[in-house]
Amino acid sequence: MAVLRPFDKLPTLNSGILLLVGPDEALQQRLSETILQEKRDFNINVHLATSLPLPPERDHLRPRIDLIVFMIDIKSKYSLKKVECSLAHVDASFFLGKVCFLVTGVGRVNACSVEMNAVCKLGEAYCSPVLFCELELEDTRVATAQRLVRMLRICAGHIPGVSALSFVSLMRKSDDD
Amino acid sequence: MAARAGSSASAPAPTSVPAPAPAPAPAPAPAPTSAPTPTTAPAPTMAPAPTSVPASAPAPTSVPAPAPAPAPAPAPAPAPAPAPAPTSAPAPTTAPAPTTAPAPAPTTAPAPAPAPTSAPAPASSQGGSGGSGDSVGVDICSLLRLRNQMKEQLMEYKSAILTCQENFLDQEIEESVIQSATEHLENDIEEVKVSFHNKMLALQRTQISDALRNKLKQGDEDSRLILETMKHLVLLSQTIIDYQKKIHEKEQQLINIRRERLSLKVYGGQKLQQIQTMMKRQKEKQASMDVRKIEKMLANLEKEREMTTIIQNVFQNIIVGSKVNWAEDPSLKAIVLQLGKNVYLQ
Repeated sequence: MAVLRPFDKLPTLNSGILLLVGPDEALQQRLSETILQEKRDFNINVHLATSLPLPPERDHLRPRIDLIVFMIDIKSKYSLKKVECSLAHVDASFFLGKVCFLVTGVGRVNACSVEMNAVCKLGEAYCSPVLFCELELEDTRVATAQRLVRMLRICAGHIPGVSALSFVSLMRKSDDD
Repeated sequence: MAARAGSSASAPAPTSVPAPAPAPAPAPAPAPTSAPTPTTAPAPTMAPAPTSVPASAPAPTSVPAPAPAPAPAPAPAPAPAPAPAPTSAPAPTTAPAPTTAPAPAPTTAPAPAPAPTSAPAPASSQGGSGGSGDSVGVDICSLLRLRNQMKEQLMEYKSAILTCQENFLDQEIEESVIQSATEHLENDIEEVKVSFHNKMLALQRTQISDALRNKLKQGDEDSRLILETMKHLVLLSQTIIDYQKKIHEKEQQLINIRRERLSLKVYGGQKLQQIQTMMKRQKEKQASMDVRKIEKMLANLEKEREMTTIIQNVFQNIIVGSKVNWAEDPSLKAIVLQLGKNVYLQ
């Protein structure tokens, strides 16, 4: 189907499904490799896509997606545009904590062509956390992978007492009044 | 890894069965080629499906070595299970979706139900979490963990159903109302969190003090040390309080001195201004006085000059009137001749 819905399918037992959406495929590959190298006690499936909607032909083979990570490269405005176009194909109930924006390439400050303001506004408009990372370096890539694995655990419902909805309230800044 | 398994499994796939490349990779390139195949693939490959299902779950994620072999076979295996689901899923709206989705699912439930229960067994052994090396043996910890997971997922689905059941289309929704409502709710959440945290802190503090008290009652080496430390702490806090009092006093003195300095400055400024005005006034007075003096002097001078000219004239007239031969006497001559000068002056 054209729109991704969070609760349309039954969850896969003891696994978390991660969907990475972004135009840069090499970075996605590296990040997913790092994620799969993480020590964990549940299965992780990483699906890669350059844009949504996903091709409907294989939809019945796809499992339920627990966390969508939209990857925006700060060096290209094209990635931001593609991500914005893909956002239309995600159901509104996904944005209750099951969506995350990942801004890559923040190590090079002088090559920014996407404004921080625009990215932060996007995160606020869609009530989703925005993570900043640098995937070229090993350390930060491992740290990002760990964060994503933790978020995936919560979104897949593996942690009792913590649901994905808490991401929305945890993101409130303390100076917001 | 999904995409890598896809690239490695696409090679054996065309040779064995024209099955689609591994299901998880939504790459557009293989999709059109495999689009017609799922309808024909399930029929011939139903027989080997149950035996290869246990290996399907870990196939996409674990070591690539076992992935190419079972990848083509299990790809059609999940196909028959969710195949009935998509036919009904697109039709209903989101509200009945969770309720009808399980309806066709139970028909296929027996097929996937025994499969996933045995799937975690190799998953846990391959993932390295389970202790037993059996393919069937699953330890109690992982079972409990799975139970918790399923409970949590059930709660999520229940809350999703609740949200779908709420009908928002009857009344107009104003964004400001929703925003204020969310703010209220978030404030409530914050307050509850903060009060909970404070209560936890208070509870921990009472627990610690109780433990300390019990420990001190025992009266052994540790408690002696604790007692000494506490006495030292009391002493230090006392000295801190004293120093802070002194600091406060000194600060007050400093403030008083500064205030006095400020008032002195202001007073000095006023005095200087007074001096300035006075000097100005004095200068003006001087100037006016000088002017008056000069005028007076000039007037006197004029008067004296006139008097001298009058006296000279009178003297000349006397000399001339007395018919004395004034040309012989040089002094008389000088006096009479001076008349010319005076006349000239006047």
